[in-house]
Amino acid sequence: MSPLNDRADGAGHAAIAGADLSGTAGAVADLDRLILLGLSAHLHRHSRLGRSAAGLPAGPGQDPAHEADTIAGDLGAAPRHRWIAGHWLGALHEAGLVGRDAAGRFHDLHAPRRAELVTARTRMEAARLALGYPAELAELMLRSLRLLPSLLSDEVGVQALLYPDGEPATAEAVYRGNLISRYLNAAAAEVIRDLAGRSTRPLRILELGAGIGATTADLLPALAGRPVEFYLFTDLSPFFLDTARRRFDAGFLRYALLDIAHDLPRRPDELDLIVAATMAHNAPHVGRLLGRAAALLAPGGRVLLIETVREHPQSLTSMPFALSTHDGPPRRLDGRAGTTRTYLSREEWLSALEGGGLRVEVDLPRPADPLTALSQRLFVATR
Amino acid sequence: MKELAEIWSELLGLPPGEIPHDVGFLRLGGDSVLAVRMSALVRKRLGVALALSDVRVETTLDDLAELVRRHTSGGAPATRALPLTVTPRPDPHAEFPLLPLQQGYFVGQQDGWELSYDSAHYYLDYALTGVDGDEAADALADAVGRLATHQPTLRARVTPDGRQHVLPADAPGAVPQVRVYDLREAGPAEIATALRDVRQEMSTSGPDPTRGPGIDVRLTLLPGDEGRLHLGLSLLIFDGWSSSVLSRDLLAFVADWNAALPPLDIHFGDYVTSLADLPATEAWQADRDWWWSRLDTLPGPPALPLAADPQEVRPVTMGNREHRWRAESWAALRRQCTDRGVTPSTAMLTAFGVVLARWAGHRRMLLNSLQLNRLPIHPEVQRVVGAFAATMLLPLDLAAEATFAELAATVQATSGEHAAHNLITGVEVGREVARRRGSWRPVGPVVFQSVLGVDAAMGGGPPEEAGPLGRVVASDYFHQLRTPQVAIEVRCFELGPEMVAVFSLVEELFDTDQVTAAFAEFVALVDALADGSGWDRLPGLPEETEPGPASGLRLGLLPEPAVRHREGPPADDMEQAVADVFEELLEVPVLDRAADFFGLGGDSLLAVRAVVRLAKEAGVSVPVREFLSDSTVAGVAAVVRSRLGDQR
Amino acid sequence: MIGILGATGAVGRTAAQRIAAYGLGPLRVGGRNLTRAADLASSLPAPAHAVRADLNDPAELAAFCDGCRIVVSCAGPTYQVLDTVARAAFAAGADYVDIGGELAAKDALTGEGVAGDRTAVFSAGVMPGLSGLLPRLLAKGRPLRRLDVYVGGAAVFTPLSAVDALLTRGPRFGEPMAAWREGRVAPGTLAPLHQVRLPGFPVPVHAWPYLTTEAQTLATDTGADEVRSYNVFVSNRLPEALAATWAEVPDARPETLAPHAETVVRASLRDNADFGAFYVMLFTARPRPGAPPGPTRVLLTAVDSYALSGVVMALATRAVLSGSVPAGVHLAAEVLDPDATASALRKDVLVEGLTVE
Repeated sequence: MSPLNDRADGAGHAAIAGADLSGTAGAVADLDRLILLGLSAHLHRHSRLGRSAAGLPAGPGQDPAHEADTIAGDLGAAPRHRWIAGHWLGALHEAGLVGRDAAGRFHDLHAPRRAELVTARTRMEAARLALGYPAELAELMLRSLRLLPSLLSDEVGVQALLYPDGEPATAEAVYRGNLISRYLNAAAAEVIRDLAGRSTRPLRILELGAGIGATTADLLPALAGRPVEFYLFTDLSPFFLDTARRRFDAGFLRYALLDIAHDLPRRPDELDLIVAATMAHNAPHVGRLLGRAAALLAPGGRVLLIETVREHPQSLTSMPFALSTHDGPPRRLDGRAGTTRTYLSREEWLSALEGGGLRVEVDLPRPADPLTALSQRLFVATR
Repeated sequence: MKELAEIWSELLGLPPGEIPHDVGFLRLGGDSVLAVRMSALVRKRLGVALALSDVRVETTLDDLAELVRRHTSGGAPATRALPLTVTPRPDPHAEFPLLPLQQGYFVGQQDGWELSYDSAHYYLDYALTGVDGDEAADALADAVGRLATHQPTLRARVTPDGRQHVLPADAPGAVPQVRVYDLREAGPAEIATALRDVRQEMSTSGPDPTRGPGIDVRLTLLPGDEGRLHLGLSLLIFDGWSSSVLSRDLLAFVADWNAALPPLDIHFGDYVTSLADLPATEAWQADRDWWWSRLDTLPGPPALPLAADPQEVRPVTMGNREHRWRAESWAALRRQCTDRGVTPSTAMLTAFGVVLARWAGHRRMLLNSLQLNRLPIHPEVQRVVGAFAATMLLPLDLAAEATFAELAATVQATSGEHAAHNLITGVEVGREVARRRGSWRPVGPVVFQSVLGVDAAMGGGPPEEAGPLGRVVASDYFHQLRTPQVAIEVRCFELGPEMVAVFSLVEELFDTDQVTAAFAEFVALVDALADGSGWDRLPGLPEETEPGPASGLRLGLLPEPAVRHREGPPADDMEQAVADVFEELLEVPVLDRAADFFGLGGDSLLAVRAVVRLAKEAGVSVPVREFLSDSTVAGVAAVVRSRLGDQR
Repeated sequence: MIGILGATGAVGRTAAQRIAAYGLGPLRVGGRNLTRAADLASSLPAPAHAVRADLNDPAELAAFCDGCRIVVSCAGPTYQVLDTVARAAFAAGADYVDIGGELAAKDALTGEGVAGDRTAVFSAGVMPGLSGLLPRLLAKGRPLRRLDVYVGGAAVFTPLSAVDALLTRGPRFGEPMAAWREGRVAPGTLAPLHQVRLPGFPVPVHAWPYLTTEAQTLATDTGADEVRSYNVFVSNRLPEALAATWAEVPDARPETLAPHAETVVRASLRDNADFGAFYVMLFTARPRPGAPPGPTRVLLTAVDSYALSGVVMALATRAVLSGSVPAGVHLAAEVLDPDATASALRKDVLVEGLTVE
């Protein structure tokens, strides 16, 4: 990899110096476990997979098997959220908590004991502390489980989870203050510094789906004192633009509504940097998005992506609800089509970037780094 | 509505006057995130917790107003504005004082008073069906743990010198441990014995918050998916309303491993601390003056004939007489009361008064009434577990030639008038009465307590479904009460759709036949009220307003030990030492050996502290009971001297 | 000849009457109003004549003192009299007894050999005076852990005594809220006591701590570890009236204070109306543990503190005349004999009760 990769890695680790990373993988597993068991408990209580609901005698291998969509009906899912039941059962199967027959029907759902759930809850708390997540994250996970009926029936939107009381603290917790975010954002800032240092003219930067500005907040200081022509902060929702306007104070910031599914600005060869932090996967066809993005770059311009590369069970009770479209699961036209996958793997990203005519310069964290367990990565590719 | 419009104005950036009341939030420019913030602001500013699903982007201002109206609990009496605010204390684990009734219970536990026990507590057990025997214990233990976080009072302790505090959640012993008896494989005889033993133990010895948690939770698992939940609650820490809140909160946590209750912004310690400013307010001073102006003309308690002198009696538990009114009867009684413009509690109180008057032989008497007394100085006060309750002295003057309906109306007015001056509690009034009369017999040994209507005020009864604990069978219950300084008490409460009244009394004090007769009269009176026939009758009342000369032992007319000491300066070093202790605690000069601790301004709590100080100074422990029987400098010195002599 | 100045005043009348009754000698009664002085003189049970005497006129003063064995001054106020009359008495070869004076007067007479072999006794009244004398009955032969002084009641102030009370401020007189501890004045250690019951006082009272210089001397003379001295009032009116005046008139001079005397007088009148007149002096002692037994309480009750002061003046006069007071300038509390004074007071009709137990 490039020297830039090393420098960015160094900056990232400097930002989390002193943290004990030895238990990272275990902590990630503990967060996952809580949601998996919580889902099992919920399905056990509210669907025919629960033995008492089925009215059948106990004993493995004796439950009839059920289709995911039937279960979705048991759960009272709104039409556009019905796909989530299958998504969950798939994850539960992968974790060994439910059986699946040859026809793809599910049976023998694990019934978590109270002691198990209490332990999982306790371990989750220790895990989030180890990973640097504030209490809001624990509350988010537990609240998502509590709200499953309302989320499924569409009575309550996922905004209620991420912005309880309309305050951004929870979203911040998820996206900012924790170990992996600090690492990635610091590494990204180093890349920006490098770009700014090499640039011969004022920079033109576009951020897609900037949201609460978690990454923006770390990138802006790296631009301090550098000539920037504009930093175009964009998102789907006016709420985020407003929040950003109140929060950030740099003369070069511009704001615009932008939906990547529909419109990207049409002035090619202009941008020095396109930033997409934890949002690029929302494009129906990632490859096409990257291609269009690449076309907007000036020579030497870069695409900077922060992406999740594995769907961790810990996000099963929040992410899918954010992804449901008007009438069902998100429409994917790339390699994810036909599955309920949200994310691309690391290899898929590398391949998509190269497919867009870009050369990957930064791919972090490194393979042997314990931080890889958190499955969030920084990719920087240049035209 | 005005506050709601203001909230919307802030969120939407529109002038409040220009917000149409029938247009949805979304149409006015709001979105789902702002909708969540709206809910939060409604909760913070109006104290109304709306469900998440209540507030959507289609909601209009009119809809919201209707929602808020429906959520606001009705029935709260028009409140006096009290210039007090409750704020969370900087150190939630710091010590704070006991409220007057807590002090009463605390001192009562010192074996100081007549009719006192080691513990003032309430024991209750009830049946469970559909219990998941494998899960129940874990679920209950987890629920108690979470409840101890949500309601800090579960971690409360009382210090030996009469103050209280809350242990940090991670302190050893802070979270009460649940004891489980697994009798799923046991036979009927073993079960019967075990149950009897647990009841016996938990009835006679309750949790002591000076040494451990104020709550004792036990679970018995029985065959056939049945069980019993046993709760011992120290009255020093939990009042009646709290035990209902606690049950509901506990069962919510048991039922769902992930249940969350709306967090409490304030706790009991914050409430008590803010009350420290109460005596400086005009309202408090007005109440104090109101009570003090009446003290010298208060009647005595009903002069019931006694079988023993309360000073001689060492009661172990209180005996009960109980009657249940079926749903139809209770409903009928409620209707009759509504028609007569009288609350059911008042009707019960009047009936009790009539029975007492006949039993005691006079029509003017002082009763003691237990009040919930949660001052509305913060919207969350009703949800906090603590010992808020207070007593209220209530003089009854039953007219000789009045119908029951007329008597009840008068009692209602008197009771309301006295309750309106609730910033001074019965314990404080009682102390002043005792001080003026120079008597240390309990001032209000006959107690009336009614929680009829409480469930409705709370928004429904306790949950019936309790997850692995199955279903609560509320009608299958057993309970035992030990309240010190009470000779006889009537308690009225609801059990599901039925109504129950219980006489709890110190059996040793009364003639059993008389008690049985009195209770039967009471029941018959209430029956007659339910069927409508009793209201317009003249209940036969004795002619006398006051008790006549005492023949035999009578409550309230008991001989006071007449102790007269020669006045003069303290006669020796011992008396001077006692005087010094008095002076230190009372902060006034104590210069005469005949000076009485209470006459100098001491109260029961200071008396306990005096005993503690004397034990330290003199190395000898004077039982509080003896301190009280002669609390002069000379008297206490004599006791100390004789105990020191005993030691040698 | 025994000359009495200010004899027609509240204190002086009783002093004159007692001096006459003790048979100490003929009296020369002096005052500004000759008629009143003459009326008084003719009522006395001893030979007495009246003379006009204005203290502010040195010639009249000298003429008055000429030929007297002893001059007894009940004339106030202290701030005016100070050492004036004493000097006149000495010049005439007479001894001197004064109702007030305290340290101010004593200081004014010291250091010049002014007294010669004459004797002067100042502060021979109730307070200061008896208030520093009687407690010594409790300290005989044994050191005390603590000594308390509670003096006061409901007495009507005259305008002059009101001004005197207003002037009683500053370290030469005493320190408010202070106690005597560990060999020195410990400021700010005591708080006022409100509505307390004290033995001998008929109603609950308010006691304001004020450590007079007299109490400080009492402490050093008796060796008490701790001394607390309180002025006792029946209500808060007087303390408030005094405090209000002091706050308004920080410059405490007689001229500036005089207009305010009226508020003080009125306050005392209201107290008197509510409670009647009474005056109590209570002294309590706490011996050190293991000390030999002895009395621990002295309680004197009376009705009229002014008249009582007159009795004390007469007793002081008798003591000087009998030679039991050495030459020099003294304060009555330090120089009179406590036992003799107590037994004399006990027999006096103006003292309702005097118990030592």
